[in-house]
Amino acid sequence: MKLIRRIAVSLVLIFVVSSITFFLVRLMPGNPYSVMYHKLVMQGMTPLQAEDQVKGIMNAMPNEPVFVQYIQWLTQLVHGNLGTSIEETGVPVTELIFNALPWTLVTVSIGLFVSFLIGIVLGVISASRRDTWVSSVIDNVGSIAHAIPVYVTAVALLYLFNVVWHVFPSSGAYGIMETPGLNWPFLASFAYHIVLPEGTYILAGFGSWELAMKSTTIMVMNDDFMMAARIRGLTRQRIMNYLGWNSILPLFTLFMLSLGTMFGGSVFIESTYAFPGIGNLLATAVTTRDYPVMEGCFMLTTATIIFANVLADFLYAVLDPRITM
Amino acid sequence: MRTFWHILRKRKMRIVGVVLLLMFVFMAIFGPIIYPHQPAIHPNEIYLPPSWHHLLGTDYAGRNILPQIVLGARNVLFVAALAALFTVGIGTLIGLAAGYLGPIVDSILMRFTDMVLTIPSIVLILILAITIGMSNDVIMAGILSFAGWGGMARAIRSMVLSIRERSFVEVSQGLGMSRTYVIVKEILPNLLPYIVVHLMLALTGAVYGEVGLFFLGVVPFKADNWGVMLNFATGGSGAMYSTRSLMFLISPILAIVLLQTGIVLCTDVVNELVDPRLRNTVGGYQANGRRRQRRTSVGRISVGGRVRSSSN
Repeated sequence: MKLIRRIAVSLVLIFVVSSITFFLVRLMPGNPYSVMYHKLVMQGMTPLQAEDQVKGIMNAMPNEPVFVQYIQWLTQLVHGNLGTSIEETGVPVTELIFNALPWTLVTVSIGLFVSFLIGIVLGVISASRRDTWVSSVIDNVGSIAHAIPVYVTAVALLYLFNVVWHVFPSSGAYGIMETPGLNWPFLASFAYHIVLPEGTYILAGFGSWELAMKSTTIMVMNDDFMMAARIRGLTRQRIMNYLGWNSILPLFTLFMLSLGTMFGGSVFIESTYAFPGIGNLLATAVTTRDYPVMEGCFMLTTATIIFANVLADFLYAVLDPRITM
Repeated sequence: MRTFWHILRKRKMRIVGVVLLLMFVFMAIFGPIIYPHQPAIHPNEIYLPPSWHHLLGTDYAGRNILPQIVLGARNVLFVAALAALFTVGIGTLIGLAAGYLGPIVDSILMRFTDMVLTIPSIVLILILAITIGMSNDVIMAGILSFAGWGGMARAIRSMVLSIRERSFVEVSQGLGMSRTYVIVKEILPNLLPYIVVHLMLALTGAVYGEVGLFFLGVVPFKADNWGVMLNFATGGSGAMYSTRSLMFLISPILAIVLLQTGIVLCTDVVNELVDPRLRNTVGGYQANGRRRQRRTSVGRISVGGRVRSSSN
């Protein structure tokens, strides 16, 4: 029952966010769609033709009042139509997005997972050697790595491993000889191409996990049940097991924030490595002022993140018996 | 001043951080006095290596790189500082209102905060940046401040919720003090350490966002921004493809990295400076341990808040 309510709230949230994007673009001075309409008329199209063309792109008649446009746009949205791209004329936005989304989902989830692993290992080390130089070094490295912008890391890695020492490719997600699918040459080529992007995700991501893990570990170490475990004379391995699980659990809620950051980072990372994911699509759309693609990307990343959060909440309730969903 | 020295001396890294940050602040304030003119174009001196005349070498148009970095500091730091102030201001206001003004205001504001928190902030900033336009620095700072206030508002709210139950607040409420008095005189001072520390963190976030927008080429290029330099270095000028132009690529990178490092290391100093409870410890490490723990307790409250919200 809780789950259904959560999903309903999420759907409302997605609806609100997409409405905001709609009005944001339309109500700004210099509404791009009326600008486009007038440009087409100036180029010698009849008003009817121009209206038709703009309608195909944005899903609503350009000369109607904004509210009527909103209703028209919503009807199309419910039918899964997000309009067509301005730059790549005639290509539906949904097609562009669904071609790009898998790449981003795979790389972001690998990056999230690996940086999480590195972060918790370093965090536990730093917490268990709290008063030594080891912890101080790890903490400083973690917080500085967290503060350095991803695009700086991306450019630096690209320069080091592509220009100076030519070991990894500079762009694309797989070699031109490969056909995407479940075959070994393609997977190998894909793994080879994502080394640098993943490296960037991990370098940018592990710091915050490390700091969070350290603080929860220290907190759990001082808990009564840890004392009880030590007094009972349990093996070190057993104690570490208790410690690990109990301190990882609170980190689950941080997923909410980190997913947004990761997707935000993908804008910079993918445009630096020319990786065909959704971040790159968005960056290109933004620089070429391709509004339908922009709105689509924004809605879709938001929707993905909102649903990932519902999933995380659900998993959290399963993993931690103290919480009921 | 003496406490300041005392705090600094405890760890060497702190001195490094303060020196780095002061260096960039110095650049931002006195840069235009040291270099009153834009660096001139010399077509015959493209991509020179560092020398006494060009301390950081020259760029794709033969311009000296050092003045560009120095002049860039003003714009970057000004917008970032403004954005950080906005972020912290909005976060504190919303957090205080949600925590103190009762359950109805609380639930409205927190639903709104939750919504903002789930939206990927960089993506929202990108769209806002091109629809609103980045005509001046204040608008840019306003847009950038959209990124970070959500988490701050949540943390402030949970702290206010716990502080308002403490006896000193109840005493002043019982004495008939006005609501403003209680908020300003009783609650705000207790939040101050967190607010100031968060100001530093918001600063790193704002630098990230601002330079990033220029790097992507989303906002109209302005002369002398590190992001613009990085954009030209990776794109237009082809500096990426040759090791000869290393200096043009590495200068903005180093500037950003050093600035962020400086801010992060200073956060530690500021933290100890504003929170007297951290000062009376023997060694620096112990202070560090305590600091982390304090931050933990904040995290724990917010975790608890989430748990509660998902179980009712």
